[in-house]
Amino acid sequence: MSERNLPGGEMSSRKLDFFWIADCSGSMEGEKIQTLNYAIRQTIPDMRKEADANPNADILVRAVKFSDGAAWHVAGATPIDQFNWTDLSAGGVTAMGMALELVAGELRQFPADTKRLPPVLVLLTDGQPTDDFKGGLDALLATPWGKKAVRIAIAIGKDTDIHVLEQFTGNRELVLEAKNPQLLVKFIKWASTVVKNVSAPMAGADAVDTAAIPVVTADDDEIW
Amino acid sequence: MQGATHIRQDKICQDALFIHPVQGKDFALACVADGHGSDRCPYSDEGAAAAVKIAADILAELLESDDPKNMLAAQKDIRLPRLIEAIWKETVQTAYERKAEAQPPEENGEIPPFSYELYGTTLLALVAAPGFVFALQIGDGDIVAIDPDGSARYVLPPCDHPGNETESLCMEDSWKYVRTQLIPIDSTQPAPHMLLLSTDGYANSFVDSAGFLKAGADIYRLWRENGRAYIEENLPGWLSQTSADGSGDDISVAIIAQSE
Repeated sequence: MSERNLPGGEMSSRKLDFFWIADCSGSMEGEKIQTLNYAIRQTIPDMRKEADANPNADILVRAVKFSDGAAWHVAGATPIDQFNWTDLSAGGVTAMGMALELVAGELRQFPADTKRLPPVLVLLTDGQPTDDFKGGLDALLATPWGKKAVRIAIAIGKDTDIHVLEQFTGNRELVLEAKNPQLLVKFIKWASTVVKNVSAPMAGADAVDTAAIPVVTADDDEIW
Repeated sequence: MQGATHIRQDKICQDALFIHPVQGKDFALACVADGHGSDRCPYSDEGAAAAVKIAADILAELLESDDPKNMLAAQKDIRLPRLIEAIWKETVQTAYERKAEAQPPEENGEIPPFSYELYGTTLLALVAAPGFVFALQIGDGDIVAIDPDGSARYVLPPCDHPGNETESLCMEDSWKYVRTQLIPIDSTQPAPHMLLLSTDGYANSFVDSAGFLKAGADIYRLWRENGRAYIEENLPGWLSQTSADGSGDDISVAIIAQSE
C-alpha cells in the first residue's frame, strides 16, 4: 500500500515539459528582443494559474538561447511556480541547429514511459539558420519525445525563413508570423496556453486548438 | 470513477464498463473502454459505452458455443476484431444519424460533420472460462493477472506510445491494431487467482509500472484478507483518491477473481 493507504506504489502527477527556444542573434537587437523578454515574462502568471487549476500535470519549464552557439538560459526542469525570466540580450549569428541539438540531448534523457505528457517546444526567431539546421532537426525528431512534441514556431519579422520553420513544426498552421510587437506578444501568450490542451487527460500531441491562434488582421501594421 | 481533472473541468466520465451477468454461466466476462475525451471526440462517452456492450455481446455468444476455446483460437486474430470494428462503426454511425435528426434544423450547425473519431475509444475485454483465459485490447489500458503467490504480471504487454497517443476503434482498419491473448489453463499453467483490467488513468497515476502492478497485488491481498465485500466497498474511494493524487483521468477497473 502507498503512504496514503491506497493500493499500489508511489504516485505522481504527469510531467509536462515546456521549452522556450529563443533566437538572440544580432538582428534581434532592440525592440524585437525587448518585446520577446516582455512577452515571455507576461506568460508566467497565466501558466502558474493553469498549473494551479490542474494539479495532475506538473509544468516544468526550460529555456534555450542561440546566437553564435546554443546554451541553456534556464537549465534544468524548473517548476512553473519557481520559474522567472531573466532578460536576454542580442548579438551574433543564428545557430538554430545547435539549439535543436541541445533540446534533443535533453529529450533523449526522458524515460520512454507513457506517463509523461508530450513536451511543448516554442521556437522564436527572426532569421535564417546559419549552421546545420537539418542536423539539429534530425537529431530532435530522432528522439521519441521530440517527434511526439507539440512544436510551435514564431517568426519575428519578414526576414524569417518560413520553410525552415515549417520543417520544425511539421504543420504550417503552427508557424505564426509576428510582423509587429503586438502580434509577437499575442503569439507568445497563445503558445504558453497550449499547456492547457496538452495537459488534459487524453488530449494528444495533436490536440492544439489552432482555431484559437490570434488572427492577423488588415489593421496589423507590418513594422518589422 | 470520474477523474479528478474531469470533475474540476465539469466534464463527464468518458469511461465505460460492462460486466456480463455470471448467474448460470461457467465463464466470467468483463469489458472496459476509455473514450478519448478530447475536443475532437465529443461523443466518445457514447463510443465507449457502445464498445463494451458490443464486445461483450459478441464474446458471450462465442462463449455459449460448444467449443469456445477453439472458436476463440480460430477467430481471435482476424474474424473477431473485424466483427467488433464493423459493428461498432455501424452502431456509432447510426447513433450520429439519430442525433442529427433529433437536432432542430436551425441548430444543425452545432453538430460536427460525421467521422468515427467523434466517438473514438479504446476497448479491453477479458474472459475467464474453464480451461482458458482470453484477453483482447485495442489502445491503452492494462490487463493484469495475479498468481496464487500474490505476484502481478501483465497479460498483454502495456502500450508503449509516449505521450497520450493511443490506438482506437475509430481508426481505419482498427481491427489490425487489436491485440489478443488466449492462455490455456491446465496442470502446467494454473489459473491466475485474480484478473484485473483497467483504463489507463489507473496505471498513469503511478511513477512506474512496478507501482501499478503493486496495486494489483495489494488488491488481491486485501481480497484474501478481508473478502469481496471489503473490496467492493473501498475500491471506488481508492480509485477517486488515486486519480486525484495521480493522473487526474477517469479510472475504470473490472476484477475477475476465483471464488473463495
